Amino acid sequence: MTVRVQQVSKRFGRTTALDAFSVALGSGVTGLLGPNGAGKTTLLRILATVLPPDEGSVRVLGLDPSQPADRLELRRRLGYLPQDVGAYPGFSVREFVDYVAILKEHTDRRARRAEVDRVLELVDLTGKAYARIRSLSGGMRRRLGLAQALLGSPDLLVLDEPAAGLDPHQRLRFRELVSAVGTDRCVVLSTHQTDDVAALCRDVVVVNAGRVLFHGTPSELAASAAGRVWRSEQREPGATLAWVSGDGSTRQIGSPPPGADLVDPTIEDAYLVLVGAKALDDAEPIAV
Amino acid sequence: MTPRTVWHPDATALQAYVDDEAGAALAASTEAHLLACHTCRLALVPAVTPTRLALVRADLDDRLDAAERPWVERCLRRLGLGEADARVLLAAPSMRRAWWLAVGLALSLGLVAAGQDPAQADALLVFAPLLPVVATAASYAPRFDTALALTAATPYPTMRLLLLRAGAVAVASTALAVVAASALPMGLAGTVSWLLPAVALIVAVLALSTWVDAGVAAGICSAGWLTAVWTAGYGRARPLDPLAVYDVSGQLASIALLGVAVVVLVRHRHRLDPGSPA
Repeated sequence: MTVRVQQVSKRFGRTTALDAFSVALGSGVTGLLGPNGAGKTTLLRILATVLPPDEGSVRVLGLDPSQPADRLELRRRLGYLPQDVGAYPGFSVREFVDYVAILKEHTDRRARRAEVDRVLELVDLTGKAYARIRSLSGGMRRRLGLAQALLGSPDLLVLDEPAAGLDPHQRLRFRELVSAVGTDRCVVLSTHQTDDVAALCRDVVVVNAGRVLFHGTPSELAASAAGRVWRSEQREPGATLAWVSGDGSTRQIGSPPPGADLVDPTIEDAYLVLVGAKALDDAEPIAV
Repeated sequence: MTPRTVWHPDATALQAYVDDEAGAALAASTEAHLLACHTCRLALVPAVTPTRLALVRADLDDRLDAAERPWVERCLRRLGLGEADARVLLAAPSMRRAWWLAVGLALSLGLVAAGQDPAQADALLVFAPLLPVVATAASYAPRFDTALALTAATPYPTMRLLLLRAGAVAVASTALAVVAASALPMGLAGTVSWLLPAVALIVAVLALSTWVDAGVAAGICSAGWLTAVWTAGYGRARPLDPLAVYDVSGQLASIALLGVAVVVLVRHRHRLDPGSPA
């Protein structure tokens, strides 16, 4: 296994971000799904060696990040896209990626220039290489973050909401790029986009309140909601969630009545069964 | 453009020019001619291999890159600092903020000193050690360096980054404070008496940063310093003598603080790495 997390807990004051969290991930693309505050970012920061766990053990690429020598070696083999890259607004795109390349020990100037050109081309930012970061749109900044994470073709790619703010064309390009990396290396990404998970991920981990609710393939996740999704003319009492779909029928999730018109669940349905219903238990019903 | 001469380099001369084997005179003539003669430029194309072209391009890029770097970075490189260290030192906006902060405070202190009022001069000396303390904290506090999380995930050592930035800002702000303090009428001894406490406070900020945020560390050190000034001043004379803290016992206390801070910093330096277990 490329990533092995065992009984890891992390607290920030009175808030428990991860609670005896355990997961093992191999090569390929793994998606972390979960609501805001579920613990996804905390887990990714621990994997990226920028946050130590309070308890439990972590092994990444066979290395123990709690040991200084292993941590250094891991950082050499890691690409990390934080939720907020924090790129310096006064820098140009090329200047910032070059800066990160220097931090990543790309000391040969000509090789570094070629590598910077390569990653900018990969994320389609070559035409913006000399634009100031303050002038970039949110999607472009995300691509800039992805570019620096790809420097040096890392063995492990940790991406915190990499597709946020990307337009449909760029999302397709992002999927193409990440799936290519995931063919022989490990990519762990967090997302709120269930369609990205369906399109990209070999594995999916659903996280809520610092715990693993589900770990399996996207198709297994979708199958876990079999018999819980149905269609009818109007909302029924057993529905935890219901909405009118494009064809005018009402798609419902919950406990179907006898003889209900069951439909094949999607990943989003299964995610809502696992997490959404629980979250909505405490919420006020929406009046339209 | 039409060439001003009827001379054209032949294929052998062009090849020698491309291979850097033409000799100074022929090379200069060929180069001048090529600038003006489109026909000869076309004749040159087959003689230049893609490898040679890539080398020329790379060399040109190197020169352009070097020219693009800020003059401060070029100076640091000439002083022997490595490229990574120079870039890390100057990259963060926090460095610029810290320096502007230092310059602004030094100018303010200078203006106070310009009044030549003994009370204001005393105040200047009391607050002088706090200038490098605040500027040092501002140079690496996470709230000022937005890309610090990203930096922490790279192999570049966090301890080195902090020491480089803290050292550079401390030296610059101390120099500014010396300039401001030199405007005072109390002579060299009075002017430099605050330097040792300032160095001790800077290292104390770094040592405290192994436990708390850099801004909090600077706040604790500043509060501690003002308490020391108050305690020493009232212990010796009434009314308050704000400069009593700079006497011999104050200097010895600074040495003791410096020693303790160095030991703490060395022993707990691993805590400056955000990925290190507590």
